[in-house]
Amino acid sequence: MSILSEIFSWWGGNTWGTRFTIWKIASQVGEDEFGNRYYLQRSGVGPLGKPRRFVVYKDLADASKVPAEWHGWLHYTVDDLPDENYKPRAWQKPHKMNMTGTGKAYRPKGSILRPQKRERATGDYKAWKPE
Amino acid sequence: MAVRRLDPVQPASFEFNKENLAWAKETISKYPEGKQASAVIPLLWRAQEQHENWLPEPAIRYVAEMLGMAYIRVYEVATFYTMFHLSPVGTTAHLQVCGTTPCMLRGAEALMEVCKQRISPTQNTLTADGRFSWEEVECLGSCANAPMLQIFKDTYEDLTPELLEHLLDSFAAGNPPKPGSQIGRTASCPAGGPTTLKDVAHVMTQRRNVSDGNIGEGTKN
Amino acid sequence: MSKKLIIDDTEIEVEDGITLLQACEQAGAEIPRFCYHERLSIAGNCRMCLVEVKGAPKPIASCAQTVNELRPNPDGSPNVILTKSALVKKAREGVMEFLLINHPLDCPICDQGGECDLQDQAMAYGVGGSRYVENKRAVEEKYLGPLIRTFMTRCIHCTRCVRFMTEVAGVDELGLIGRGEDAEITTYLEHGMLSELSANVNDLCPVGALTHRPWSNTARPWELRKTETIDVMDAVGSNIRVDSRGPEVMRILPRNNDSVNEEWISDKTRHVWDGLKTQRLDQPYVRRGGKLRPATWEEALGVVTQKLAQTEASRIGVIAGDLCGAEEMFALKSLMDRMGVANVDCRAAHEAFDPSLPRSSYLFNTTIEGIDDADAILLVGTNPRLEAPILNARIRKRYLKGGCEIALVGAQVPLTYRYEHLGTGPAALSELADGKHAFAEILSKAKAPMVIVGAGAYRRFDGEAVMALAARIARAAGKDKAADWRVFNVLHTAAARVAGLDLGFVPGKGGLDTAGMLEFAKHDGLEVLYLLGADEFDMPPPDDVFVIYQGSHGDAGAHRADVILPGSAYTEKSATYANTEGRVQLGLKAVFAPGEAKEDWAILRALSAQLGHTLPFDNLTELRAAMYKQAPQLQRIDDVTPATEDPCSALIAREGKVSDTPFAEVISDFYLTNPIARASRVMAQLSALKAAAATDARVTPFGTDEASVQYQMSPEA
Repeated sequence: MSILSEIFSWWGGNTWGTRFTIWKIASQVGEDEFGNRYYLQRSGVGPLGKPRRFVVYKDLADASKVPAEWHGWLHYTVDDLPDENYKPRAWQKPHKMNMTGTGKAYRPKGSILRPQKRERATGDYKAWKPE
Repeated sequence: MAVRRLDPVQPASFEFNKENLAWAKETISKYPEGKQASAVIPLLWRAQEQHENWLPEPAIRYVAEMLGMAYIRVYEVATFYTMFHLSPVGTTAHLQVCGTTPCMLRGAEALMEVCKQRISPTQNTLTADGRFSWEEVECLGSCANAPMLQIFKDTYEDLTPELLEHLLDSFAAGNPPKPGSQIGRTASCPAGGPTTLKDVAHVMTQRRNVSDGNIGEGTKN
Repeated sequence: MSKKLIIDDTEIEVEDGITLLQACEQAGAEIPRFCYHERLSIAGNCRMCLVEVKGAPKPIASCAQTVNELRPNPDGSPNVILTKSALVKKAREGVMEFLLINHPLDCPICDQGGECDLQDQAMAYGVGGSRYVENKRAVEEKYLGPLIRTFMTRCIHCTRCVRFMTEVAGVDELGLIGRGEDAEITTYLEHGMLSELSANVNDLCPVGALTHRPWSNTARPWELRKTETIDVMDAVGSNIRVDSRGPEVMRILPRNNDSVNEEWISDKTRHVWDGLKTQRLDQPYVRRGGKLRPATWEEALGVVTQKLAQTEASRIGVIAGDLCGAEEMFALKSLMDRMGVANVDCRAAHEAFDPSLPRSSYLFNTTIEGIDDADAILLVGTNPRLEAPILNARIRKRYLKGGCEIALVGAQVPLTYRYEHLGTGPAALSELADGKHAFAEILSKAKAPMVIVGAGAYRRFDGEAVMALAARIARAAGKDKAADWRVFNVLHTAAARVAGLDLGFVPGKGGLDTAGMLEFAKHDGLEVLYLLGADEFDMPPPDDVFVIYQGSHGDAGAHRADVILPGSAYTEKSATYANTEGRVQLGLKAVFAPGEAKEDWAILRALSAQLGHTLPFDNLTELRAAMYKQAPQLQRIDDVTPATEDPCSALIAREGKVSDTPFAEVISDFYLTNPIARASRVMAQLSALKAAAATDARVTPFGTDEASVQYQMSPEA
């Protein structure tokens, strides 16, 4: 990442300004499996009356990259940090960011961007069959 | 008051006995031609009396057919009025304890406590031998003799928990007490004897004055 | 006399006797309501329609108070009614809050969502939240038959359904049991509802307490495409709205038309919808080696062309069925005319109609709306309750107003009004015609008498003679009556019939009628039989005759057919129908026909080209132009062209000997009268329910009115 884009663009990662602010007021509290880092305000409180919480994305900045266990903390739903005791539920799938708008976006059968054809809809009516 | 449902166990059929049938025909004939449906409440009431004081489902149909009404119309009436019992009640006595304000102020809750102890913790539930049941009802119109309860057609008034215990004992023994006040007063006369019009001589004087015309015309009787 | 009122600063003069609610509507003020309905009696139990009357101590339920009941102002000034004042707003909010106390907040899973009165009015007149934190009332669901699904916790006790069943449907089936908070709507011990109009209670229900069971949870009202069209289940031509999603009809609802069906439709009209999706003919078939094999259109039309071209015209027969639109009948008739085929008929066997007589001889001349003015009605060989439930509801409406004598000659059937049963067959009719019967006098004394001749009377060997008798009664009854009052009426059972007769879809010179053709087929005389959706008769035995069946459903005709040409059902084509009054109505296409099925007129047009008798129209517009030229009355859409000519003399001229056979009941099973209904699972369920009702002890064995008659006749009861 070039220095210029680090100064002027926010979407490829945090800018110098952000990095400076976070370095100044917050300290890192953890990092998730994807390499996103999480920070907590050292002193004072933010607009919600609690110390502010930050996330610094690894590479592309996209809010859907935050996994479920960190999402709760980051949005002030819970105050406890996900620790080593955290275990995903049996039914939880591995976290995946929202792929809409990317090449990996979900395309249902019948989409013009997908080669497969959609099966003919059935159940609209039942045809009469002789004998 | 809770949702009232027909009893799950119903007799196969219902028919008026001979004298009730004659009575029913007479009752129906009191109403003008085409208005026989007006007889529905008396007929249902008589059916209930004939059938151990509760109204079975076949009776609803029987009365409906007798009056030319749709079953649902009679069913509506039977479920609307709480005086129609849709499930069996005590064969010896079904206690309808008044729980409206005057009776409540005079101790109806204590009576219900006795019922809960002696009969069943819940309303409309038969005792094991099927002889007794009780329920709380709204005002039965004997507020001057509160607290009171009604057993079938008779009211028992001026009750206390002790008197109620006694009442239940007498019913159980097959020796029901006299209906009315249980402390011996006549109707709703003052409980401790009369408090007014006690000076007989004075009253007589007054009366004489009246007959002599010493009092204004307007009050003459 | 009229009364002056000031409603929200608007001074208005209203008629005597109307309610405050109606007066407010006339003044342009909208009054919310749940229990009030224009066509039902007034209950006044929802309290939503409260308005403020200046001088009255409390808000007043405007639906239950007439304008004459208002206390006059001391100075004689008109009463002032406020519908937008702070008091009214507060009252409405209070009522709404009470109604919502026990109403569940399940709109997202409620079928009524999106078309719910309570939802709309809570938005418009309610408050944002509830102060009620206690548990809501729980009510057991009720079983009310295969058509109605109940969610009784949603019920707000408006009793519209109870009033509808009692007043309009005329059957005391629904009731409100219990009292106060425990009140519940149910039938007696939850037997299934048996009335032919029962599903209308779902439309009336202002909340989602009663919803349609067959299509429950399948669609949302806002995602459906609405097509306003015409029903073909009976000859009333009820106005319906077909709601479809994609290629599928999702539901059928009534449209308001005061001159036809008001706002009711029969259960068959509404719930035949699932029959549109089963037993469909979606590709042509040709019988080869005794078995029907799928074929292409070219093959099938080729076989038909070859067969028709080879056969002598006098050995070809054509029968049009009960559900055909005028367009395809016109196309088929034109084609047969070109081919010189005279054996064409649109009537059922032995139906005594003749288009060469005045048009009024086969119409319901009084009109359905006219029933409201009648004061004596003679039903001849008909059971309107099954043949035309909507028309029957009209007669009941007239009966309830009072002062209308009704009598029936024919099978003694349970109707929804009290009638005098005069006899079962033509003998009673002859007596009436000779004026020997007391009811003849009632008819002649009546100001507006009606004689309604049903299928039981005109569909028999001596139908012409029976109709002559009925015409004699009608003529005698019509003497010295208002010039525009028409006495003689025919009640048809088939949606296609009147248009067919208007188009002259009857045997040409020397041609055979339906009965003749079927008889001729039995004796190896007829070689080809072309059935245009005709199923309602015993098919000729196999091998006698080559049967071509063009239609939408696999029923009797398709089973017997040698070639099947898949056509469209009534929701899949634009077609003209004339109802029993002769009212011409245009049905529109809601969805496409399934598979390879085509619109019927187009099939006939293609066939005509192959036969070398090309019909002179390439689209519906051209077809209609040609059709209107032949039958101009068909272009007056939504209108009745009055048949002014008196039918009686012409009908009486056909007088003959009548047999003693009693008039038959033509509809044995109301729910299974046509191929679409027979394909419907819901109709089969209803039919089974009706059959089981005879032995169901929970069903009241008589209608209310008959009951009182019975009672009077036998005081021993």
